[in-house]
Parts: sequence; structure tokens; C-alpha cells
Amino acid sequence: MTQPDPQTPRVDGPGDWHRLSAWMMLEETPGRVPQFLGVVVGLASLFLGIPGIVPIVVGALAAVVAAVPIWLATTYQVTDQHVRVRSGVIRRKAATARHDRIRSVETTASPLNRVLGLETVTIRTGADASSSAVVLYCVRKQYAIALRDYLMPTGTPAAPDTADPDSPDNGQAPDVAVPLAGFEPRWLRFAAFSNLGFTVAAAALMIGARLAYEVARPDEERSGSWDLPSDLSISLTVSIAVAVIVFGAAASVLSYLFEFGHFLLSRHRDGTLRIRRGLLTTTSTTLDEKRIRGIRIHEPPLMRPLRGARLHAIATGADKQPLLLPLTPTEVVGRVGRAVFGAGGDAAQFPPQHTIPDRPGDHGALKPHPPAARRRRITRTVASALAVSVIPLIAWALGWLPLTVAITGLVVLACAGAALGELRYRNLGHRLTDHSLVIAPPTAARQRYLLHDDGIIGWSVRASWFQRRQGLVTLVAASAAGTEAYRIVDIHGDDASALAAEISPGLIEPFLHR
Amino acid sequence: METTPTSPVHPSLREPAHRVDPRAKTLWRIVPLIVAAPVAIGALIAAAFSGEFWWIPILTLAAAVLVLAFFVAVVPAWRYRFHRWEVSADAVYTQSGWFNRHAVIIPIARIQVVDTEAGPLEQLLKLATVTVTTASSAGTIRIAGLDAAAAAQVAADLTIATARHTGDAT
Repeated sequence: MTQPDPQTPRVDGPGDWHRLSAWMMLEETPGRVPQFLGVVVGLASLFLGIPGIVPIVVGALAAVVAAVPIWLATTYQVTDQHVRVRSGVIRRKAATARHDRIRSVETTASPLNRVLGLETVTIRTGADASSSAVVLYCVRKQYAIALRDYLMPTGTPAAPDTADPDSPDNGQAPDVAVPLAGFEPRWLRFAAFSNLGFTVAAAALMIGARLAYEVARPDEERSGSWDLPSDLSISLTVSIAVAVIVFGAAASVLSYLFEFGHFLLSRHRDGTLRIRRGLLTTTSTTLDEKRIRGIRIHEPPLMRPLRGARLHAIATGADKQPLLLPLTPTEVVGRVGRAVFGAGGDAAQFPPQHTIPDRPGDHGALKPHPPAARRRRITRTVASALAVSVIPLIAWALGWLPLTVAITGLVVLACAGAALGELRYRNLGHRLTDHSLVIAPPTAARQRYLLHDDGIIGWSVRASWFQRRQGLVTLVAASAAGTEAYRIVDIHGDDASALAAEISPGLIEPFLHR
Repeated sequence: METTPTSPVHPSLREPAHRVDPRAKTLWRIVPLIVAAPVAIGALIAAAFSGEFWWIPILTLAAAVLVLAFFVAVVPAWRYRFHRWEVSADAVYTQSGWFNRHAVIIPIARIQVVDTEAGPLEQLLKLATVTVTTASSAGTIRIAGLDAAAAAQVAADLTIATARHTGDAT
């Protein structure tokens, strides 16, 4: 291919079709048929008794040969209105993306691709994730970058010649990126603890099972036929449990490093946000800022003492909750959230450290929900806990557990349920600011949804029979972005009407009781 | 002019102005009967074949009859009292449900699709359901039990009103 013009890539006429790079045959192919075929051929030659590495070579050759028709059959074109890809050997498929329907462009490069200077471009259109993406495998890197800049954003970019002639960055490249957040090694501490809950639970289960076995059968001789950890001493079980925790943490850190190493979130003058991440396989996602209607901050319970949180954008289009920041320090989340949400956001909402009940005059706190909401949360969690406690009761009925253990289990579960319900109530709240609505759902993790008023399309009120008895309703803000329904759970009916009327006065006012 | 009582769901929000067609109550009565018939037949057959345990299927049948009586005698009246709808110049407001209650308000400017449909039972009773969708799945409105002609009129009015607003309604 000729070197593409940095402003726009080569624009094709209706009849011009191009092949992707031949390296595609070694790399990804949709459906993975050649790789599967290669494995089958290799295994077949192995079973036929052919020795040495010949089966592997034969399998690899078979995979490459099978990929040739796929490479030959795949062509693409970029016209001034569409991006089209024709593919398929047996069943022909044509995927088309219209320029003004494009919502996100993502470029990915595996390690092999990076060495060869290739990238895979994924173009997403449409309003939901189920609409298929148009994928260009293995195109040259400069072309991929030019194509991405050409397709995104869907609005008109700020032309460099309309910039202030006295401004210092006139004369630089038109696309000046403002970095919002970049990878720092201190982020890895979150990775070390992110799956701590699972590994500790697994370790505790191992130790608990070993101890329970000891308690249940103190007199039985160790016999070789019982192949549980009966031959392991308790200290060995404990060391294995510790090893599980350490290994889990190490694996988590490595996985975080591979996925988010070299992370960079930047804002570009053409009105897009770009997220680049990845140590071996690099992925670069472009997001049109005009599609963002809010942000979501998620602070998992384990991250509370470490002060870490995730940041997602609430957006319309194909990817409704694009990841803006992985587990990062809360001050980074606060800074980036403020930058992304714009002037309409209430800066006092960041970081999500404010608890309920609030101190008088504390601007950052959320409005707590009525005490009846606490009763509902606790009732729900205790009911689930009691449902789960059927298990130890059945174990007792079958004679596996003594009654005391079963009763203890029931009490422990009920208390845990009540504690969880209280935690959920503490996290529940909402707040209305000048231009946005802040919602904190009743979950164990601390979350904040900040929705811009413009993002709210309509309103819905739900009241179950149980809620009606307590005078509570759930107010749902309907939006085209994110999860499309943002629920403010368990508030009083007139508070709900008042809230909806304040955010969408033109819509709600005619229906108020006057 | 119909009185608009204070809604029990949200005291300061009044109820929508119009009720659905009274024939909807008939529709809501027929459906449980259709569901209960195979259950009753199955229970009777099971009773005939269970020998000394004949009382188990009969007990189930009695419970099913009680539930059926509830859904035929009581629920349709509750539903009819609560199902209401209203189309103003700028918005559509409906409420529905009997155990869990649900009210929705959406602006006409954000409407994307207006659908009218009628199943076989509804066609028999000359009723129809109007479904209005927006860009948000939470903003979907369904008005069931409207008279077929009224439903067509509502759908036509909404389509004309929506055409006056432009944009992709997100």
C-alpha cells in the first residue's frame, strides 16, 4: 500500500477492494477454523505413528494452508460513507459500517503483530453490543492510525486553522493529546489484593475441611483407601493454603500488568478520549466524548482500606459502560472523573469517601434513605441467609454434623446476613446537584453513578406490595446510556415525585397533583 | 370529567386521566381459566390413577381452584382500577400492575417506535395493546386492554406527534 495521507486514509471508490496483510494467516482468523484443523491434522499424524516433531510441523502447515482461502476471500474497502468487509469462504458475509453510525473504534496488536507493525481494527456501530462489529485484521499500523483518526469522531473536528493564532500550540500537529492518567507502579498494589477474597476463602475452605475431618473422626486410623488429605498433616495443609494465597496474588499482579501495563488515558482535541493499554497485546480504544452521559465509580469492599476504585463512563452507543480506569487510587479516579464529567459535575462528589449519615453542612455527602429502607435491606439479606442455612440443617438431619454445629452455622449466617444488610443500607443514598443526579445503589461495594440531567430520558416508578406497605417506592431514571435504568431504591413516594420534577420539570409538572 | 384520585404509588403525582376499556376485565378473567384447565384435567387424571393417594391430586386441585377464584374474581377489578393511561401534548404517562405497581412517564420527543398488537383473545374481544419504545429499555410503555379502534387512534396520534420532533432520540 502507499503511505496514507496523515489527515485521511486512502478513500476508495465503490469498486476498489483491498486484501488484508498476508500475515493474517498466521494470526487471527475469525472462527479459528485453520488452527482447529491444524490441531486435528497434527493429532492424526501423531496417532498414525509418525515420530518426532513431524506431527507438529504437519499440523502447523495444515493450519497455514487452511488459512489461505480465508485470506484470499477477505477483502475490505473504506469509501467516503462506509467501511465494508467481505469475508467467508463457504458462506459469504458482507459487514458494513456507515460513518455516521460508528460509535467506537478499537485497535489491537498482539505481540507478533507489534513486531510486524500490524494492527487489528474493530469498528463498532449501532445502539447495542449485540450488533456485530466490522473487523479489519492485520492492517499496517500507520494505516490503522489514519483510519481511526478518519472515522472518529463522528462530529466535525476542531480545525487547526480556526484556533487562536496567538495560542502557543498553533503550529503543532492538530491532534494534541492531553494525558489524563498514565500507568504508575503503585497501581499494582490493588492487583495484589483484588482476588484476595477468593484465595483466602479457598485457603480457609481447605483448612476448615482438614480440621473438620480431624474433629469428625478423631479415632479412625489413617488408612490409605481414604484419599482425601488424610495423609497430609495439618501443617502441610496450612502451608499449601498460604501458597494458594501467595500464588493467587502473584497471578493477579501479573495479569494486571499484562492487561494494563503502559496504560494511558488521554483527551484529544477532536473531542475523543483514547485509552491505550497492554504490555504484550496492546489495545487502543477511542471513545467519542459527546456520547458520554455520566460516570460510574466502583469501589470493591476489599479496596476500601487500600483506597482504590474503578471508573467507567456511562455512554450511549455500542459500548455502554466503557472502562476509563482500572483499579486505581481514588484520587486518580476523582481527578479523571471530574475532568471527564465536565463542568456539569459536582466536584464535591469525588472521591467516594463520604459516608452516611452526613455531618451538617457537608456538601459531599449523600441524602440517606428512610429507616424503612434499612428494614427492607436487612430483611432481604437475612431471608437469603436463612435460605442458605438450610444446608447445615440438612447436614445435621443426615447425621453429618452435630446439632450444635448446625445451630451455630445458622446463627452465624443470620448475623452475617444482618451485617450485610446494614452495610448495604449504609451505602444507599442519592443526591441532586445543579446538573446531575448522584445515585449510590444498595450494594456491598461502594458505588456512585453520576448521571447528567441531559442523559435522563424519562422516569419510571415501581412499588412492590411490600414497598407500598412501608410507603416506599423505587424511582428509576430511564436513560439511553449505560444500563439504561438507574434505580433509586426505597424512597418515599413524594420524594420521588419531587426529585423527578426537579430534574425534568417540563415532563413531570403537568402530571403533578395541583 | 373523571375524578383523578391521589395515586397510592406517589402521593403528589396524580393518576393518568383515562382508564382502559372495561372489556379488559373479561380478558384478564379468561387467561387464568385457560391456564387452569389443563392443570385441573391433569389433576383429575392423576387422581384416577393414584389409587390410595387420590387425596394428593385432589388437594392440589382444590388449591388451584382457590388460586383461580382469586385471579378471576378479585385481580381483574384491582387491575382495572389501577391500569390508566394519558397522552398529553408532550408526554405519555401510564401506570399498570396489581401486585407490583409500575408507572412510566416518557416525553414524546424521545419515542422511537409505536406498536399496536392484538393476540387471538384480544382480537375476539376487539381489544389491542399499544407498545411505545424509546432509546432506553426502562422507558418502554405498554398500554394493554384498549379498545382496538381507540388503540389505533392513540398509535396514529403518537406517530404524528413524534414526527414533529427530530433527532435520533438518544
